[in-house]
Amino acid sequence: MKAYLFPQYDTPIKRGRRVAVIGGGNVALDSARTALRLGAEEVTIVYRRSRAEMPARAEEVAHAAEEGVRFKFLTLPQRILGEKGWVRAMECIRMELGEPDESGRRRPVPVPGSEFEMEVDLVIMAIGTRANPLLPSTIPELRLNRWGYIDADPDTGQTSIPNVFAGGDIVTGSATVIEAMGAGKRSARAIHRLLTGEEPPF
Amino acid sequence: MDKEGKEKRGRGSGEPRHPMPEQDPRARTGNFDEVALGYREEDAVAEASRCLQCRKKPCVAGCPVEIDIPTFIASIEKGDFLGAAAKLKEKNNLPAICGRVCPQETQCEAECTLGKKGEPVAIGRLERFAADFEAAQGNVPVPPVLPPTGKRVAVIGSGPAGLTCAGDLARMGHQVTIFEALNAPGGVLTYGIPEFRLPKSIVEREVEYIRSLGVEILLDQVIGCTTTLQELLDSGYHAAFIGIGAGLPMFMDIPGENSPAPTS
Repeated sequence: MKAYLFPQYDTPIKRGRRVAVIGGGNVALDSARTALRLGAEEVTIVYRRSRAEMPARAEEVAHAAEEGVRFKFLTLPQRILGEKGWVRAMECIRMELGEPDESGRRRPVPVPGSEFEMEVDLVIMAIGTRANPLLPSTIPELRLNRWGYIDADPDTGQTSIPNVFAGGDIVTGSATVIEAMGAGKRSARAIHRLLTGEEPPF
Repeated sequence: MDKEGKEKRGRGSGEPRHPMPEQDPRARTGNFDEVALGYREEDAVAEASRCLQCRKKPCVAGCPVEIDIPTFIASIEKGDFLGAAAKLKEKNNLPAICGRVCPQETQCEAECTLGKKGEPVAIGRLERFAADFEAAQGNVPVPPVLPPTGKRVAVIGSGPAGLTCAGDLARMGHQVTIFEALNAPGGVLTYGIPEFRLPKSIVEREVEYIRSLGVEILLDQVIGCTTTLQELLDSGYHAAFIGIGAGLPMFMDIPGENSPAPTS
């Protein structure tokens, strides 16, 4: 924490020379660009689909490319190879795009026999996040969905417990800042109605 | 050039959006300063003058918090930058943040009429400009807060959902306390998005604004460990909002992933 304020804070940072970042979202790009700023010589985004399917913002992809981040598309890591706890390389397999999956994007399928090794000394996983069960597990009456997110009314954020509301990523799974803000707003209105019996002023 | 040989400019002419100055790519990989530098006043006014002021306002339907986009843009075009900021804040408590990190290309800007034939108005850049202009003036006005209702609300998590919910409830007259697990407020805004995309100073500024509305923020409070939700409800909070995000990283479950070097 506060590692970016070095030298005022001496939080240790893991710095890589040849860094692979796994994933195609904004967090993958943020990680790659941060690794560059920390002095990595070579940073590669490894993504199992192609550029067109990347969930990251177009502007961030362009910024990363301008800065020298490399992209290895249609590539899936299979094994991280190390020596004495240090990473030496990553074994990957090439992918090709098949039929569209439930997300509407074409599903990547491994190409048999296309395994290869990439020399890396640091691997950053940026393939998404899930609900942290810490709080929900202490509230037995709180209804969750099958992925562990809180089951809440999309219009109000009302949960299965009276007077308890929820919104943002803990309801929808990873989404955007503005969607979380929208949920916070809707819940504020619903809470106002509940507590005062009046329509919210805005 | 149109048929009469005059150069077409301004509204609906297909003129591209005004670029936003950026740090040079070679220089910026050596620092953590913000990459995008923001519009200057003349860039903002010129970009605002591209807006067609559509009567149907399709852009507003693309905004999850329903900002009155054409009206704030019209204020910028007139040079009333503080008026633009005030209009933004009617709906959005955190405009300097949204102007920087919203995926406008899939939201408001995706609905912009100009985008059908050319480039949409750079709504996000204009939002950022108005919010930064107001902050640079120093004296950020606090909107009217309604008389106290006597009701207390606990908000768990100080990320974008929690800050917004808390700010709006405070403006409606409720007494709001935010419980944040980590040692600084902001959630993903502070601990997720890096400095070069969203400077911490901007997040701190927006959090200060939420505090100025009367919201109390308690740090290092891991609800579920230090206190339970039930204890909060029993101690006089009339309602609670949970906005704790989804911060548990996923891994691929491949051999070698648990050696000390891979991280997330």
